[in-house]
Amino acid sequence: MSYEDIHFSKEELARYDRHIIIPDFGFEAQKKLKAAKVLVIGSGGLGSPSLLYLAAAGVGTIGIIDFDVVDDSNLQRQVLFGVDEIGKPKVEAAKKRLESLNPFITIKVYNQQLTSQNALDIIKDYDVVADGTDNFPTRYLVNDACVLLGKPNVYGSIFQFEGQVSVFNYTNKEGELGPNYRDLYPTPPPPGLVPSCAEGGVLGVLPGIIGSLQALEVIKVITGVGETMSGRFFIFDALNFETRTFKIKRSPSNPLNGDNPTIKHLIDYERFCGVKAVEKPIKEISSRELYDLQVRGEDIQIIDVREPHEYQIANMGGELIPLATVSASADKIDRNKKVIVHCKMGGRSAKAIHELEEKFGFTNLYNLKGGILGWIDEVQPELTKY
Amino acid sequence: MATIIIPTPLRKFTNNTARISIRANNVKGVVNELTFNFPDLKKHLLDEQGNIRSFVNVFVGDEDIRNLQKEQTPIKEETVISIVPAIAGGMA
Amino acid sequence: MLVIEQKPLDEMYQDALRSFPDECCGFFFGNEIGKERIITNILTVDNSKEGDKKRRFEIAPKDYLDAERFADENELQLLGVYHSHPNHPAVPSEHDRIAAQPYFSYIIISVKEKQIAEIRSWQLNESFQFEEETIENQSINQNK
Repeated sequence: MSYEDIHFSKEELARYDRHIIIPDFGFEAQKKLKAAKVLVIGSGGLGSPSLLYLAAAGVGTIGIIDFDVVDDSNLQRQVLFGVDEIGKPKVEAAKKRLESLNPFITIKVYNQQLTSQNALDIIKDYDVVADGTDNFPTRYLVNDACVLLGKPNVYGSIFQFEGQVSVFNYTNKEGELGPNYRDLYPTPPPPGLVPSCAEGGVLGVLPGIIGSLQALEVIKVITGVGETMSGRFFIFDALNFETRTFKIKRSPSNPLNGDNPTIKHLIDYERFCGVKAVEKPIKEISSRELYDLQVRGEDIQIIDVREPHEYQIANMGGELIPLATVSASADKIDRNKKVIVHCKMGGRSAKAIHELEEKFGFTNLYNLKGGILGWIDEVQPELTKY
Repeated sequence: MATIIIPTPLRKFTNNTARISIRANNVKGVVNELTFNFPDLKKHLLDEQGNIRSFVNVFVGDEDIRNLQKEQTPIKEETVISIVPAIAGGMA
Repeated sequence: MLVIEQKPLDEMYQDALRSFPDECCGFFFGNEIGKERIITNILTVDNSKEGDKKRRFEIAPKDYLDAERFADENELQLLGVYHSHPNHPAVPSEHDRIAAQPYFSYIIISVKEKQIAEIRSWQLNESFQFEEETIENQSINQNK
């Protein structure tokens, strides 16, 4: 529905009366709200209050994406739901609640996870995004998708007792584009590493405050009323009731839209339920000890995980299985005798051993300390160091 | 051969070796050779674009490479390179 | 798990109180036996943060290198960094987390109005998130 086609029924005019009579807001702003399409990502702690207030305000189309199900422990803060909704998909429960609050708007639900495969497709139909998720992978995904699609992203997050709000990727009336999340934090923890499931908990009311502030910013972005938080980063300390707002700017080294962008596609930072793995130390053997084994004639196997060109320069006669092919060649590795794994300095062979022990349960692997360089120093100085 | 000094937090990724000898022409070459030989160091030293992470300082002798030629800073024999993690934080 | 000997514990508390309302910072050293870290020494350093030392701290690279040297010369292990949170819980912030190194323990001392309120310690796990470590003999926290 475009702005020109917006009509209000008598009931709607009565409902939004308190907006319409505010001099700095008025009918025009209410029309913009009805014409707007807002996607709220996550219907949990942050999503609950922002969805309630956006629906109440009369945002014409609200999309909700969440793949979670209502749990009793959610009710400490996710005020969108009640005990009757426990066990139901959150988006369905949210839709029902919001429709009963405001029957004049359209709620679209996506009972799925936002990923690099669907993000652009889903977000492109909306004008503004409100990011209510609280994990790095989705934050970066939403940020990147909004920048690639040119959509403003109203950001909110909670960390321990602190809440944060900003508006990313917003173009102001002068046509200037504001900063986005990667201007603050260019890179997340590397792919493959995500927050562990055991989180510190959250004071239930805090997302209520921050989510409501997000709804406020969405309304300001849509209507153009007031000054948005674009270019500013607001921090609220719930325990001390202290607030801080600091200025943020676009950074030329932003990998997404700085001077030399390198990120052109969405990235799925891998998710897994991080149970802390206890790192078992790997077994080591020195060059001298290996030499002694050979002199004694003990039956051993030597595996070399370097690259073929390195093998050409100098080798100890080991079986060449380059690091990247180690898992695929696990059946070439003996399980019944001492197997010494080496590389140039001891780093790649350590990695190979970790991989073989974790994936295949090997228990007879030894890392050659100092690698072939150490071997050349101590045992075979006639070989070429490189 | 330049010597690179590994700070305590990263030594578990270098089999507890604190000083490693590397042959290369500049800092970038040294870092590449180091992360090639000790792949587990990579995610702690480099970002996704392969550049040195902002919370890692690299010193050639006494000078921060940011005041020299950054990753292009040349390396000679006897150069000592120190990796120094930026220690920072705070309540906000 | 951390065990902090009385002397380094007192020294850290003094540093935190003396620096209040600014954040203090420093290194601690000791020995590691299996999963236990026993802290025997500390080294206080200046908060090199330009600007708001009440909410942020920074350690100059030279001070870091001095700490590594101290560890080498005294045959101790550099075990981590301590800093204080004036009028704020001993819980790491996002800033603390982003700048944190693996392996180190991060001790945070909460000082409320010139009194030590609590001391807690944290370590970065493989997912780059902080996990709390227990501190033995933290009698200051037992009154909570």
